[in-house]
Amino acid sequence: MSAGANKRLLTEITKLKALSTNPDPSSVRFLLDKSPIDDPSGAARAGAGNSSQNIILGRVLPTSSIYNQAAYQIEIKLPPEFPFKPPEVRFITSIYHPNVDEQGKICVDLLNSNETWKPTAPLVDVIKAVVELIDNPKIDHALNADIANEYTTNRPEFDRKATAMVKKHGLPRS
Amino acid sequence: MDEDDQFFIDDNSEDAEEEGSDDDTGFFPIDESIVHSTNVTTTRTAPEQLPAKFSSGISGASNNYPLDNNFEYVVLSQDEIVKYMVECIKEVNEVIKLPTTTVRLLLHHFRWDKEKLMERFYDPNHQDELFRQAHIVNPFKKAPQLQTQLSNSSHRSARRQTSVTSPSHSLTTVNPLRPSTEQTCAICCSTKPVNEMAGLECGHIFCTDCWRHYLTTKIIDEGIGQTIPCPAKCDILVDDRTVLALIEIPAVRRKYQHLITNSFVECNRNMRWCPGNNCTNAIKASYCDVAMVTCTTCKTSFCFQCGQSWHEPIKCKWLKRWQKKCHDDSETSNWISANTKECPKCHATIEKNGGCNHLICKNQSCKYEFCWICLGPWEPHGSSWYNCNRFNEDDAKKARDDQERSRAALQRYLHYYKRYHNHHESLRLESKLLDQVQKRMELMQQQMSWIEVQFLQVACDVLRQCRQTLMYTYPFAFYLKRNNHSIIFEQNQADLEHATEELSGYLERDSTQTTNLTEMKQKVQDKYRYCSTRRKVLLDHVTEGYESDYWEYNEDV
Repeated sequence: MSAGANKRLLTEITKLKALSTNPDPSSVRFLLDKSPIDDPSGAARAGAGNSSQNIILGRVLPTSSIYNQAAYQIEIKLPPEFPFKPPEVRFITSIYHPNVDEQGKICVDLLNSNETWKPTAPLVDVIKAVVELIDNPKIDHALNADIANEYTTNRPEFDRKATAMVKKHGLPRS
Repeated sequence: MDEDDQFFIDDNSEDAEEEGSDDDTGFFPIDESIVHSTNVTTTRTAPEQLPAKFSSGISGASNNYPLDNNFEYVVLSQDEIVKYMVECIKEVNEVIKLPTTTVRLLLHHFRWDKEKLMERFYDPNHQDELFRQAHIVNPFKKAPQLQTQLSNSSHRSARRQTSVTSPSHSLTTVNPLRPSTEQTCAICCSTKPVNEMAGLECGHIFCTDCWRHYLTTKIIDEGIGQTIPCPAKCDILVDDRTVLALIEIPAVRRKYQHLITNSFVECNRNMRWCPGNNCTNAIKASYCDVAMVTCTTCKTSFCFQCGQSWHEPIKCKWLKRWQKKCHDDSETSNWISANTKECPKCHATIEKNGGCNHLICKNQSCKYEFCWICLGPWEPHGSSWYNCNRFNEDDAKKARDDQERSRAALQRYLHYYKRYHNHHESLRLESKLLDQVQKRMELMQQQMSWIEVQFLQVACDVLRQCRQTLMYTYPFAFYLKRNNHSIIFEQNQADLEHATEELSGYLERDSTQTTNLTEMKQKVQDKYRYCSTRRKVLLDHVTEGYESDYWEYNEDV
């Protein structure tokens, strides 16, 4: 990432931080755990090019029932070409969901296709897309066919397993 | 680059020095061919003059498909393609008076159909819609302040500004007249002087560094040329002038230019790329039809309509079906239908590899018991008074009939496929034979003159043509319904095949050992003349059939 892109990164992270304290209840919430620039004043230091520079960790807070009982950590990996190429997002926290596979990978249109990703798209939009997917499972685009099948045919069983997983792995929401 | 329509050509000559021979990028060497344009020999040639090499000695044998009579076409090299594209743009531009880059995007939107573009352009009610659909800002509705702000505008008034057309200079020099005018780039978030910023008519401004990164990613990594959108949440397309003004790396420029010409040729109904190996020419005609065209550089003959190698006598539609059949409806699936049966209840595919005819379906949820012979339920078979031969229920009979049909269809398909494939393979190995023949021709020149041994070359050409025709007669026959004319066709086919194999035999045998060369020459000449005649007879008959509707097709094979 060039020096210019660091400024972009700084802007992005500042915006992400603001999400944790946003008083608007309708806004998406995100708790930043770790960023390439943990101290905004030390932004220049981050330009050194260490590999951890490209990773952002943070917790999403879904609002739908079951998933709203906890927070889930996601990893946002910024490729060297960022923002010209989309970031890669995966779940660190285990979550029982039709659209999340065993490795925590997800399939979000915004991040998958070169056609839809725009270099101007803010990371806040990425967070929004992830939370939207968790709150509204897309069965047609399921990554885990078994869970998708259960979700449509045996909802009580799905709910039971999803709740168990939330209890076991879910993180605090503050 | 100041000239309106010459930017493509100009850019190429600019790059010429840096280029040298590094063509390992895998792109067509567009620029190179332009640099050496004085050496390009393929100018516009009438089709009659094209297959000079092939038609020698076999005149009349190569061009007797009636549909290609008087089919006129020209072979264009890479630089001629670009010139032609620029001409097309200019032609439209003279009428609608818009910047060339805008015209190019519009033409692309209409797949280079000038008439359609004009028609829509002069429809006053839909002009706005037209620009929206083509993802271009309507130049007649542009806000005036944008014109001065966007240094990269492709409008005539703005084109005289040089800030972006030479970005390397503008990056280092800050405009002293307007030092206070700075803007923030929405991609990198840096604040930069306004002359380091650029944007399209949509008004989204980014710094030139980010533009370059963005365009390079699109062109190199994603292979998008014609339809790069604005980097903002906006679908306005980036025009070629902007791209070429911003991108300086020759490899990226080359790839971009290749992407543009490629989309020009592929979108154009009346143009085809030559399918020859490593050939970069394209063929242009005035309309699209089934016709044989021959590339002047690589000598590949192909069908202008479908771009496949020349496939007379079969029509494009049936050839496509045949190729699809060979490809996916392969022998495997035919084997399955001929050698297996389906469980009458759950339709699981079963192959019986021994044991008695009392079958119990292994499908755990089915376990149906049935008779392998009649496919009826097993239960009645167990009683002594019941006998499978008598069991002739309609559906059991139908199942057996299907089986028979499928087996017969497989046999039939294999019959045609094997012969088609044989000729295909022979054609593939033809270059080997040609090498041998050429060596023999050299040896023979000890006794004969150069001109006297050329008959062997002609014989090879005839052999190749006959094989190619024969190859396509098999899929043609495969789809043909049997009638009197199909029987005549098959006789012609057998005759040609027989003669062709004999000719092939003559050429493969080492005839230099023959004591009497003159006699051998006479025999070969007689044979290839006979082959040529038979080929013509066969093709003429098929042609006549197309005209008089002799041919009926089996739609369901």
